[in-house]
Amino acid sequence: MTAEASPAQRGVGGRSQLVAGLVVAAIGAFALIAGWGLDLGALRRPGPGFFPLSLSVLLIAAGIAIAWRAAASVLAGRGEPWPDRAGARRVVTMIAALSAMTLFFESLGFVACAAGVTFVMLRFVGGRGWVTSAVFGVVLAACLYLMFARWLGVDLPTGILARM
Amino acid sequence: MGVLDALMHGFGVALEPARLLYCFVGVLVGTLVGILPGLGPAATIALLLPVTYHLDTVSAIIMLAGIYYGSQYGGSTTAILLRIPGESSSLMTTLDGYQMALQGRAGPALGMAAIASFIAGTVSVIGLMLVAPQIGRLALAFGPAEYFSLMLLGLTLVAYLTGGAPLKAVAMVLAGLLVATIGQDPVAGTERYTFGIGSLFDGLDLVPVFMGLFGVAEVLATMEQPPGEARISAPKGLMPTRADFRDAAGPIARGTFLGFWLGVLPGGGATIASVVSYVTEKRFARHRDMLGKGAIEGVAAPEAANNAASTGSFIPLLTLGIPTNVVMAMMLAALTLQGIRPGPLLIQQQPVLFWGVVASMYVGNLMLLVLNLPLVGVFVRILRLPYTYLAPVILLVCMIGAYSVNVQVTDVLVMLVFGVLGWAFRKLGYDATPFVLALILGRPMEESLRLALSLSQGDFSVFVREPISAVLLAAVVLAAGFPLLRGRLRRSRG
Repeated sequence: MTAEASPAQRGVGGRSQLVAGLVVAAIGAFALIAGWGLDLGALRRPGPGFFPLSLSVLLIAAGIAIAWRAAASVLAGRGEPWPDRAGARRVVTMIAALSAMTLFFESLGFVACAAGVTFVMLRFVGGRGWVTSAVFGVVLAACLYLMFARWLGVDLPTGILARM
Repeated sequence: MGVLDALMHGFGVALEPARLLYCFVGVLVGTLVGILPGLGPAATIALLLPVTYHLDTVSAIIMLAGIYYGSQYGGSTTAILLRIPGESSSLMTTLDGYQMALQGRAGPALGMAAIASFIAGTVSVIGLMLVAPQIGRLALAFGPAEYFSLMLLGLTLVAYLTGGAPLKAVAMVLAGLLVATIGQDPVAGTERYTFGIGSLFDGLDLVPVFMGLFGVAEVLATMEQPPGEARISAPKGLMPTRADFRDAAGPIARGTFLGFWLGVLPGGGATIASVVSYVTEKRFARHRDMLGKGAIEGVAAPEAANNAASTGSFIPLLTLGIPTNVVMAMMLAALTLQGIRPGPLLIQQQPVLFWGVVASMYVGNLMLLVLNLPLVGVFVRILRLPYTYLAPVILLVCMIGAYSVNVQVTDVLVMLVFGVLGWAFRKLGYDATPFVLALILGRPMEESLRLALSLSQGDFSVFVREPISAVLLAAVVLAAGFPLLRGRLRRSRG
């Protein structure tokens, strides 16, 4: 077990903050370019471009200001620390499992996807045993399906379950 | 119809058996999510939004409201027993609550938290009942200029009050407003930032965004840590002593008063209320030198304040249609799903809804008191449930919720993207709250800005010529200028 995160622990450092500021500015620049063709209108009748384009400009300014202050290391040490190697592996595993579920949600169906995600979460992120993870996955998926699809009438894809 | 008649009518609505059941479910779920770290009221309400489709409006709001004030009761349990705030609003309770637990007084601390919450909750419902109609009447005079200034004030206060670097909060507000412009423009109907994707035509759906930012992001951040087990034992003897009650009376009264008004304020809400009330007790409490070392005042004041604030924050939502914190943003989404646009006329046009919900709050607070004191032992056992098993449940319910909004996978993808973004926001110290509020207020804000400018023939001075708008804008300048000024002063002194 790694050291516990205490409130006094320093968050992510100045370089991450600098990059974040530049990303903020880049989003503003993207919105400005993507919305360039929108009609600004006149002051007495502002057009559809008025609000988004002014916001883009302000966002670029805010991003540059953040990056500037990060470079001057005013903003370092805020937020939470980046995860260590094991923590990063857990986060990436979860995101991968969820992405796969999204991709196959309609073809495989809810129950199969849900059981899979739960299995991955328990076995590879939570460090539980193979059997426990598999059983809990199947049971949870079935329970949620019965509760939401059957009882509450939510439209969930049946996928391969329907073909069997 | 007088207030009392209306309230009696409301009790008639709230005491129908089905409504009582939804109120009970709400406060019970609220208590549970309050206890469970890593699942807050905002995420829970987002999760349950799809379920509320199938309910009538009054039952839906009664249940969701119960979740919010119920979570304020539950949050104190983990704060006292484990020094883990179940909610950010019970952070201050950890200071003295955990110390009391170490001294073997966990029972009285839990008891006092529940009692203070009950008193504050009940008193602030009276406040809500008396103040809301007045504000509603005032708001009838609001035109587009006033609404724009009011929303601007709301966002400014949110940016400065939610903690962290104001500059980052400002960037989040701008980003939220910008994302809100995705889809058809509200006046002319021109497509903006849709990139030819059909499902973006009506803008981003709020529910998947909320679930991503508050549900998925929370799970990612919590599961990133290696799994651990909580070991705690159930406390015995919950009744505070007579001396405790004497010491806590003042803090409860002050906490209730401060909490209620901080809840009404945009950007306020339960967390800030608990901090302010704790700081206030540092000046006024009978044993102020004992604060932080296990003083009952340190539990009573913030617990009263966070409950009062959660009730107070309903006022701007129900009378102006403006959510002041994330939970109220979820409430607005729930009302919108039901086809109701809250505003100054809500109390007159939907008396059953308004008074029914108010009456349910009295009932709900009573249920919470009865529920919390005897069931602490059960709640402690729930805390032993490892988060590893809870995490997939939260994720899957989020998935179902996002999918069921429009029955399309795109929404699940949106949720996932915002989940990862929310996780990164936490790491980098960007608060998601300003983003979410800006996302919700973006469309009405743009609409009122453009309408105000068309009405005034492009004359910007309309915002300062209308007296109410001028006052609101002056407050914006004050709110934005004050932290800058304070920074200057500190630097020139230091």
